[in-house]
Amino acid sequence: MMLPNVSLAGPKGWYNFSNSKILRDLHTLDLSICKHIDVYFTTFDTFELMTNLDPDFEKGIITVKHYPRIHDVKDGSEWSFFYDEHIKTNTKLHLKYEETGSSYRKKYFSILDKYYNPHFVINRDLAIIKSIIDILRYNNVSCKFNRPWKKVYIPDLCDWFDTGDHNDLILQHPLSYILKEIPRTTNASNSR
Amino acid sequence: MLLTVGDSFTVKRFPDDIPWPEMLSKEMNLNLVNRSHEGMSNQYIFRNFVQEIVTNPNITHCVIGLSNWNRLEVGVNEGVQYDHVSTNTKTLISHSPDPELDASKKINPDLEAEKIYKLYFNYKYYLDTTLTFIKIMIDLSKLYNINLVITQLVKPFPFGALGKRTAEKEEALSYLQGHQFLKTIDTNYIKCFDFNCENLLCIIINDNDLWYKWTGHYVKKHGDKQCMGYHDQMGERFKSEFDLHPSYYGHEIITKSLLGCF
Repeated sequence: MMLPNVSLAGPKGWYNFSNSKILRDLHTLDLSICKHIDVYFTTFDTFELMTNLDPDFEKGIITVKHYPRIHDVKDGSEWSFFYDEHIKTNTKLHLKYEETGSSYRKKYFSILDKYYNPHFVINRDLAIIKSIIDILRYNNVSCKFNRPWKKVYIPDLCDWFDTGDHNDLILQHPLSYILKEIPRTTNASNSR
Repeated sequence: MLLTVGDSFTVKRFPDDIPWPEMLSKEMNLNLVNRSHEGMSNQYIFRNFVQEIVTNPNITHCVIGLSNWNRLEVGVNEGVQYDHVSTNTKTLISHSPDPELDASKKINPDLEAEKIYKLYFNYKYYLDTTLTFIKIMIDLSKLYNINLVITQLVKPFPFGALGKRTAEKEEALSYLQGHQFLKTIDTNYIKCFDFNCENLLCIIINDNDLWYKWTGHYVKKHGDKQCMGYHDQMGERFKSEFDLHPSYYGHEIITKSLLGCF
């Protein structure tokens, strides 16, 4: 079994999720019947954004990651937007996203530019990660925890951020010790 | 030691304020850690709950005073703090009466962000995330052997008029009634309010719900002794604006209700 629960996702898209999604997916599992779970955490500078593309929340979520798409590097855009599998596999929704996507991105850029703060996302995600690890262990589920997969063209400054070197800020947090329990893999296997 | 986490209904709001956490800890003869902050969201409550129970082995009891479920916590570009009274976050809510003005009647500096928040507001997101927070807090309290009470002191999901049925509320009701998360929550930990779908969405009015006492609806019918009303304890704002937050008597009501939960 795997967290996040992204069995529907394609091979190149499934790492575009937030740690909040893992927490929600954990909630849906019957841990009494789980023998082993691979947990793939993601970088802290990742956000879930609502859209009004589809009335169902899970069918229209946008994940925003703090790195430029490779073809956007010259534009200086700091954020990449990814739609979920439901938009990808639903022609009507996909068309709607294509029509309105630039509007979403423009509006959300203004929020991200104004409110993005590494301290906040460290605070937010360390509590989530600690909860996930504790609950799986409490239920005696065999687990393998994995550090985030990162794009190969992003400078490898900090395991837990796509953009920026915030290791010092992470270490200041009282829950940062939990990250030592998540093994670091080689760059080759840790990146896509 | 007693841990309390919540929003303005749980925090000490001004120097002479004696909020229910202080009353309850005295009644229970427990030292108090109150990690509450004015205007905060359930995400703030969740992460502060986790941080405190993990780092403080002396916590034996905890009361969570849930905030409105539709509040969104975002960072701000200033401030470097991890402590519990951190103000380096901001909460967006969808029911401010006039988004053009902030609480002090000044031009709202977050107007653009709030407009976007409202434009893409999706109540299912907030139902999903809050139910997750509740479930995980209950699970963690078992792991850390903490006597946990989760209560609601403000309207759970305040969209639309209290007690009125609307198409949006009916749709939300249908969504919530079939929600997998709702079925997995151990309601033995939920106290002083009825954890049913119609109640969570403010479709019905339940006189027994603790939070109902601090609504305009209740005040009109039963009086305002439990509310702060008009006062000057927090500057000019509430000299002209009725403050629904608990008065000393209101905090006594909350304390008495919670005492019976342990």
